[in-house]
Amino acid sequence: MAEKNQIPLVSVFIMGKEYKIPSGLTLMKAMEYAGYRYTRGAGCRAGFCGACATIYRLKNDYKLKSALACQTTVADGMYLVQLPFTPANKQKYDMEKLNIAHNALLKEYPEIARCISCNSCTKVCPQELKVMDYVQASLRGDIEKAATLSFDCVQCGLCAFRCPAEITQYHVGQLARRLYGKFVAPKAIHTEDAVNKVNSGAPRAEISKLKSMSPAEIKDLYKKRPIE
Amino acid sequence: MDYPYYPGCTLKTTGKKDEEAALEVAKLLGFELKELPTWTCCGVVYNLTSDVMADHLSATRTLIRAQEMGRELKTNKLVTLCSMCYNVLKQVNLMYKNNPDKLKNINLFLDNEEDYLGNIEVMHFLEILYNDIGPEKIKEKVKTSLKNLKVDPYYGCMLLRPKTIAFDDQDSPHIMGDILSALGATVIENPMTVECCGAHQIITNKGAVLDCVERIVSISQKKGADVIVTPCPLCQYNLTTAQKTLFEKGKINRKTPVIYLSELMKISLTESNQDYLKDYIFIKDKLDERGGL
Repeated sequence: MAEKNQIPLVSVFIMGKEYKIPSGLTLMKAMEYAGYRYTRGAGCRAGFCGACATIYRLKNDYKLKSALACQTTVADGMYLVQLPFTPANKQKYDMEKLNIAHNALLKEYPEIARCISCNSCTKVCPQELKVMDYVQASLRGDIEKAATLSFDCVQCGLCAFRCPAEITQYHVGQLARRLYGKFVAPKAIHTEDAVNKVNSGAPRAEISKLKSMSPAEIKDLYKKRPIE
Repeated sequence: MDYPYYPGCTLKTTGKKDEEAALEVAKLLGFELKELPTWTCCGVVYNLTSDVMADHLSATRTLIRAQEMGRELKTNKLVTLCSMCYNVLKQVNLMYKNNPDKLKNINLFLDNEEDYLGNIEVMHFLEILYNDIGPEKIKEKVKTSLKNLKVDPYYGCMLLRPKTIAFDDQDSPHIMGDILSALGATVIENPMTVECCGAHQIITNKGAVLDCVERIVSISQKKGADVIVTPCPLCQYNLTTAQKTLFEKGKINRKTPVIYLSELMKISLTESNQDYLKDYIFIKDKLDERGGL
């Protein structure tokens, strides 16, 4: 009864129940194929927001694996569950009152001193970041290194789930990047200039001119625009 | 000869002066301390519970990093500057040498690292200075003899305890004194040299640290030391901060400067040390009083 060119089906266990899913679907589409409907936890569906953290195991493999549901395709014998939210302590701080002293991160997140370097966070990270290394850099006040190593974090929270020391790595990394941006990185002078230019009212004449044009004139102008 | 070097968190924060001076001193003596490209905290204290292996993960990763760098530099030595890091790394290393089964277990857990083979020798900077360079060679390199300076070498407890990791006599160590003599300084003997400074009690029981430091410093002062010299960042911190409180409380009638051995060596071994000496007015003044350097 199998039709020609039919996409082969694989067995995927979603929260323990088996479903036959066409191979090639992402975990997120597989869930929808199986009848789940996302009202929360779908996020951007493009690997940027970290809302669809998923853990899974493959048959006969002792390792617990992790993925972003929108970025990973189904495999036969996959047992999975999606974790759309991480309960994690997040400090409230006033950036104006912070500094970049060597204990700046330790003050807001003292639990980083509990790190035993087990590397569970690095192993679980779907972005393949060196999470343990940026926690260790935070511990010794190396804000630049912590900010650089954590730069591609999508805040999915899987690291915080796996940490035996109960550190919320992704919040620590975020603070490191904020401190780096405010106190260390060179200022973006061109942005400041552009904002000043807008505030001075200089572009206003140009905008009024555009507003007064007919759609045909605007289309014509668009076609004749200089292209780099 | 270059050595893989493990700084530890303190040397990058409150103990920065020690690292800066030690790296310079190494160059002046003809070798280089090459920082491991990545490293984690040493573990802070060596966990004596025999079946808790998780607390040794940090130190083990560092030993693996040393193994990797050691292949490049053709050495099996790993150098530390901080006494606490030395103590932890050396005890973990020794535990593996005595318990190959534990080494096997930890290697199985660290499945995304190369196996640690157990061959690294953890050395403190002092050991390198004494064993690999030697006081004689250091003496040859002295540019400014510290002949008018009375120094009290203070070891603290982390370098010499337990006995299995000690590289000097546990009760009357001489290595630091020998090096200081080679620099021309007058070394005084303080029976408290291997007594604890109070260590991490500074966080939970400051009174205990005050008691310890009072005993150490009052003898040092009675014997006329101009400066207390230590290789340990925690001792340096405790001795300095506790003396402030002791002085305010009237328990001691003056404060003795506490500096790192590396700093004193840099003063003595640098060709033109006038700029550097500006940071050490207390030494400069003492020397000027007694006819200069």
